[in-house]
Amino acid sequence: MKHDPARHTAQTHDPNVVIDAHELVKTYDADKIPVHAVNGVHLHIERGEFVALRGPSGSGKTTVLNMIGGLDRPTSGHVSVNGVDIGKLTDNQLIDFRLRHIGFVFQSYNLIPVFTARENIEFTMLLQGRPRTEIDARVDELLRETGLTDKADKRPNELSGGQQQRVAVARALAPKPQFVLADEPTANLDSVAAFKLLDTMAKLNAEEHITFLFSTHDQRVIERARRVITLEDGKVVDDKVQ
Amino acid sequence: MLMRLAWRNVWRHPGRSGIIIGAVAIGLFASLFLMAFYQGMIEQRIDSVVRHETSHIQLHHPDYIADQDINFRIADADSLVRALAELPHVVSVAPRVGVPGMIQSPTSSTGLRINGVDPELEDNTTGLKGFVKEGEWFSPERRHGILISAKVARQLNVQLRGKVVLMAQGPSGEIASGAFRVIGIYGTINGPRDDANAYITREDAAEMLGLGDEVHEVAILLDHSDAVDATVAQLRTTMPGVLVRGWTELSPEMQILIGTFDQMMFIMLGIIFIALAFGLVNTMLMAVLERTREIGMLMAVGMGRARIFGMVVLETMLVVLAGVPVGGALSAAAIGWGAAKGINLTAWGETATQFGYDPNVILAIKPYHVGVVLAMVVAISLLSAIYPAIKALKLNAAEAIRK
Repeated sequence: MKHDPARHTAQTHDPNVVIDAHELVKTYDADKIPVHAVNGVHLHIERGEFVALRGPSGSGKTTVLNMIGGLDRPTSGHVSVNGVDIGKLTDNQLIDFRLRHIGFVFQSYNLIPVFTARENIEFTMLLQGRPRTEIDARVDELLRETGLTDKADKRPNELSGGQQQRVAVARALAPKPQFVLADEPTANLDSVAAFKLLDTMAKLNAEEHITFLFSTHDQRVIERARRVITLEDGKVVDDKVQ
Repeated sequence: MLMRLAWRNVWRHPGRSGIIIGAVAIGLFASLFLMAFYQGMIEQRIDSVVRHETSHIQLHHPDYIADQDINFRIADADSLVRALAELPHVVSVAPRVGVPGMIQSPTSSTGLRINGVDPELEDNTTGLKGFVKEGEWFSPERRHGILISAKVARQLNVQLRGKVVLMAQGPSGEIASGAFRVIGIYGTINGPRDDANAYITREDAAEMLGLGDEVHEVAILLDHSDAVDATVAQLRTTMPGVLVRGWTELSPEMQILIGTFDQMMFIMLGIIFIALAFGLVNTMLMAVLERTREIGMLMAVGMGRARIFGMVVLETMLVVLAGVPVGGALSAAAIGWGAAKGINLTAWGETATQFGYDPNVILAIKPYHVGVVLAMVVAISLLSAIYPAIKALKLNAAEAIRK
């Protein structure tokens, strides 16, 4: 049986805590002059939260998300996801950890262009080796919830930006991850599409109790979040529940 | 899922994939056609050597090969020929008197080997009669006829019906000579060999040289090459005082030719496939680098390194394997045509004939060679995939997504 660090340590931490980032620092060696993209960030996010990470460009939002998602390693500090210190995982373990515990939504959708909406949504479940019947049922459910049932067999280039982003959200949610990280999910969407996407995310958050953490500087998103964390110059300057 | 993803990725850029599929098809076609061409040449050359030059087996006096002295003869030729003709697999037997000599016309002379042959047995064994281009074959009514090549005729400045004198050393060391009339100009596909040999009847040769029922050489044609080794072994046992050699010993250059064929083929295939590999690596590298963000996304959502590697390898394999049926069909059509009609090289001059090759090459290919080419295609596609796949693996997901 494959070793699952999450399962191994889950008993030692508060099961309501999904993300626990402590003293996160990320320093880039820009032409030998160190740049602190993230400088001592603490984050504590619990199950079912709907959190916006706001801040101006260059404030470190994406870097924080990347470190929490295991796409980037901190220069110092620790990130625990479900009690697992992901900094201690190897690269291959991290990929597997992301597959099983984290959903990603990217600013520019990043769907697989040669796959249909249905195939994109089922992709991560196929990677996990889930049974076909379970995959089909889950994909149908997500297509319904995202209002894309009639677009199931369309490829990304046949969908609008908003529809593509809803497919991306469905893909992120398909394997029922612990949480979803969304990096500027509405940045490329018009108002109608942005609100529709936020409705979808909020609904899935409420129904499936999946934690959402999204970076944004879009006021429409910030207004919909229940908790807003503000970053400036790589530091948390505000953290409030709305 | 991986296969579906790889296959669809292949067809993202139909034009680009089409070029690679075309390159694979042409590479495969070139490889198989070249192999069939050279295999055909070699098989024809071997067939020609056996059928028209050496036959399958030859018998000589043990000292004759080192020094073609007239005295190194095999006795009781007629009874030997009759006995040999009774052996299993023997189709025909040709006894020959063979001595080095001179041929002289009123204006010129040249050295060659004088062959005294039994016309009927010689034709049955080597098909020499069929190579008479001008004039006629030996006939019992017309004695002292000689067959020479066109080049020798030109050298001697003699025409058909012209007179020449043959001279050779007799059994006692004296110079034996005889006057002959050119009855025919002959030419096989081995020009140099033709120019070094002249044919008279064995009866005339015996008369000129003062020989009895003795010959210098007995050529044996069998019904199949597979019977050579067993027949040689049998003759060596029953005729201990005679040098018995099969065609591979008689024509060692043929052995070398066969031995070096595969090496030559591998070098040529190597050149073709290395060129193909560069094209493949370049295309796949382009396919990987233009999908940097997508590969970063795949890594981010949990597609492992082994699967990323597998995807790139599969894409390469698929684009190559798509070219195989195209190249295979092209090759089958061209080789099938070439095997039926032959590729005629006479338009490129007489080079083939000068080297003893038939100018009309009948293509031939062995299943083994097809297997080797296909194995190389698969190997080259796998090798070509490695570098682009490693490039894909080295991508950093976070950086790749931002591109």
